[in-house]
Amino acid sequence: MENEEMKPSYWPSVIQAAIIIGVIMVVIGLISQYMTISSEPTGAQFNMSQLVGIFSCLIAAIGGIIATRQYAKNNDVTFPIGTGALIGFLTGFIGVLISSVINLIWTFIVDPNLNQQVYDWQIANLEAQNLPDAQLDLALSFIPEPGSMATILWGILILILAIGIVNTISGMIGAKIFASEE
Amino acid sequence: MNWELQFQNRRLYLIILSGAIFLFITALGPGLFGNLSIPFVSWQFDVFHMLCHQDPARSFFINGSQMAVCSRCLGIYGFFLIGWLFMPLVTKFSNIKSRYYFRFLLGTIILNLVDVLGNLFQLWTNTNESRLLFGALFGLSSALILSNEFFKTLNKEDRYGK
Repeated sequence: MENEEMKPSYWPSVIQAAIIIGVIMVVIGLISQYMTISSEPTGAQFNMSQLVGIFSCLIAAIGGIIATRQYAKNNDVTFPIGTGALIGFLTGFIGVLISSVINLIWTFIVDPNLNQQVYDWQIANLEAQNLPDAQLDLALSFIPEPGSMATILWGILILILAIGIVNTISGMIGAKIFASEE
Repeated sequence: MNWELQFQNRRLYLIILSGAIFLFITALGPGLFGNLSIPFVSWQFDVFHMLCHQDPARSFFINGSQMAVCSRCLGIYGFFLIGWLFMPLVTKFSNIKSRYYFRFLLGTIILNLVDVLGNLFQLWTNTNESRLLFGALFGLSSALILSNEFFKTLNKEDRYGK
């Protein structure tokens, strides 16, 4: 029986990159929420807080690149893009979990009123748009109850999907650039 | 010479294809499904709220409803999907080495950064169309850099030892 070549574990690189994107997502999210509630609900669909995002466009997608680069450089290994895809996906997945846990700690312990204030602001903003009653009711029905388990799970699930896919792609690109045998 | 296309990593190719289709359809926003309610409270906006600023002034509209991503991100997701779909054709009819695709990717990243900074410092004003174009180049280059990981051209005579 042949001895299988032992490859070093990619988990330290995954965790490191996941912490980076998790913290970035939390910081962007919290800055955005605080800027929202400190502004006047004028009925505009876009507010100044979302400008924060202009500087963070696709930044949550770099986890796969960071993790694959770390893994390849620190261990001086090459690996196929399939491994890069897996590393990228795991980085996105764990990054979302980390950001969700920090978010929960923040909104349940540090500032328990934050979710309710954002919820109230969204309703006030919709009312300021002077929509017909039917459309207003429809729009309100889409705004999730703050702090409910369904809202939290839906938010985590949808983030895992989006951040997972883009980090899988960035993980493959990272593997191609930093860990290709070519 | 007689060339044959070899398709490898099939499962990964199909997984990413599914993901790219999902991202592109979602990026088109609620207007695609005829839902003209407030776009900001739709699930499509939730999907991208950590990936895009979703500024209406920098976005296209479909059926009167704002798309879920800005014009640059629409270009990225749309042309990543196009690049992914056309990978076999690109590999079959061109013989471009990986390092050129890498330079193309690097060039499009720099191009987008310069465009964002130039607009920020008011050196010029970009438009939805220019942002779409630059995003498209980045999306396309992101897909093409991976093309020879999935498709390879083989000389049939070599393969069958004729």
